[in-house]
Amino acid sequence: MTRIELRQISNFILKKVSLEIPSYKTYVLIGPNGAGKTTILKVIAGLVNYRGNVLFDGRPVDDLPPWKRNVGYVPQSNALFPHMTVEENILFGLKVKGVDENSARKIVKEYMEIADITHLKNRYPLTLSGGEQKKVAIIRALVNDPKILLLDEPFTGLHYDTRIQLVEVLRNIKKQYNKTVILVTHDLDEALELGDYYGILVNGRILYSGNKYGFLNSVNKYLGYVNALECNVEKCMSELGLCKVSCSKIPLIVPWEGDLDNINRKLIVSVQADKLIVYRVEEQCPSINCIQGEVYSISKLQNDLQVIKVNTDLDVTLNIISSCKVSVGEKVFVNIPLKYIRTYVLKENRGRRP
Amino acid sequence: MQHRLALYSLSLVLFVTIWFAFSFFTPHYLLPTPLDVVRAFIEMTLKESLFIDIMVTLSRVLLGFSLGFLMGLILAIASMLYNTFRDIIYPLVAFISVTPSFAFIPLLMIWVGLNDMLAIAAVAICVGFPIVYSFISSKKSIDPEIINVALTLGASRKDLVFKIILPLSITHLAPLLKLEAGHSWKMVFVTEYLALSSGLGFLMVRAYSMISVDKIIALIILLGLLALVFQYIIELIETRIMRKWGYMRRLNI
Repeated sequence: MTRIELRQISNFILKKVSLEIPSYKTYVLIGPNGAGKTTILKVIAGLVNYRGNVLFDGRPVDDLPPWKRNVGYVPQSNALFPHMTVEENILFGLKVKGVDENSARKIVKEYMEIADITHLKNRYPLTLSGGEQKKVAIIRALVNDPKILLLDEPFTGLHYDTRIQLVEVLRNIKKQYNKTVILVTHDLDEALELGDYYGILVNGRILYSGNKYGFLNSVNKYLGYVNALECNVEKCMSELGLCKVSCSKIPLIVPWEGDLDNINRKLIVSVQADKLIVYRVEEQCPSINCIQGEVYSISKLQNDLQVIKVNTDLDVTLNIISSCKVSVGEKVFVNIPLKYIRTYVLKENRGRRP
Repeated sequence: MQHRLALYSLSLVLFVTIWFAFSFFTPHYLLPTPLDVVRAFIEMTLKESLFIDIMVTLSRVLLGFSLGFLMGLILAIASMLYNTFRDIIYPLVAFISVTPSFAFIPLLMIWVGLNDMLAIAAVAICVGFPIVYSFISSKKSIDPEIINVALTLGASRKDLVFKIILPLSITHLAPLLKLEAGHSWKMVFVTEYLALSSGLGFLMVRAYSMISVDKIIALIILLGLLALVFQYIIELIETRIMRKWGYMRRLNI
């Protein structure tokens, strides 16, 4: 098992970051671009300089070089070796560790079957699609049997179908090999799909670290580009693929096509901030999913865009990215378009706060 | 491709036609016709030692190029394995790489003497040092994440150099090698012209001393063609490697 602790980590971007990541769990680190997410992964892998301490299972690893830390690192660019075939790429780690050729090939074969990439073994990385490259990069990291798997924005730039496939591969891997996984992303949907525990990183500082419930309460506050709501299901109309939910008493209609058992009647509803529409007049706001609220902060972005934070009457904060001219204190009406809403089952698993 | 070949042929035909036209209005000892040049070429082949001189020049180019490449590769590997060694040789390598190669010929004439080794050494210097220079710089242009991943997978410094950096440097080295292939011919030609008594450079001196413009033009064409073929072979090797790795498809070439 590998429990990871970061104590007061500082460097050129991180500011006294302290974290605790439980063993065998998927910890998702979310934050905007340039927040220092990738740097945290590199600190854990020993690839950048830092002050502070990194501990694996309570033992400091600060003096260990990357090749002795036993972590699997999958960068955003995949960084496959372009001059080696897929099989050679995956074999690389075993070969440099001195595993004999036959055993190494046997191990590689087994892993390639899990990710369904056996048919690609003689291809070169640049001839593969983005999703195939990502699978190879993950398998290459896993085949060395690392204690910790570090994934940097694994789904960026991938087609939706490929993402679903890859999520499935990651779930299988997690189930079969029981790894501590740290996944870095700026995408809330990726985070909600895979995470057990969450951290929010902004400007090199950890603003939240803990379980899904706390995360759902904090995410709208700390990240201006997403909205996540914890909702109770009231009624589902399976023939329409819709559910009527209540998110902190806000009534919403959301898409849902799966089954919901009697015990689990909770959903997480997420929607990107730039998909929300803000109206100044109630009559203009569509009747479905229209929420009344008051603007309490506005922060400027580029090209006339601004992050508008709206406090609803029922004390829920919504983030809207829009160029609509509103002022602080103004009463507005926010529409959450049905087609942009994503829903996830919220497991009744209130794990301890790491 | 056929379209391009047709255009190449058209350009050649146009050039020869213009040449023909000019040669009718110019004294033949200044500008012979293309036919005179062909005749001079046949004469040099049959009555003089053109074939042997081609072989002599070619062997000097090949030996010098190979020696330079080998020397460059050994120094590059050593400099990547040992940082201290790299820091010691880097200023010298940078200096020799940017100094015009022809400037070394007089020095080599005194140190090596007027023999085959003069041309070979000149080419080796002209090719070897830019290779080391390029290797040291190419390390910086390899995606640092590739190095990071290799490190987390357990690669030692030796593994990094031999299994990652060296093969990947080919992508940066290939254009340089093509350029150096052309330079090698220039270097051998100049040393033969200035100091040696065999090879195509020497034939050029002889043609010049007899003011045989037809032979001079024939030799220019021959030298150009030989250098082009040499460069083409290196390009072919590069293309095969790059295509195998999938670079060509990505660039849509």
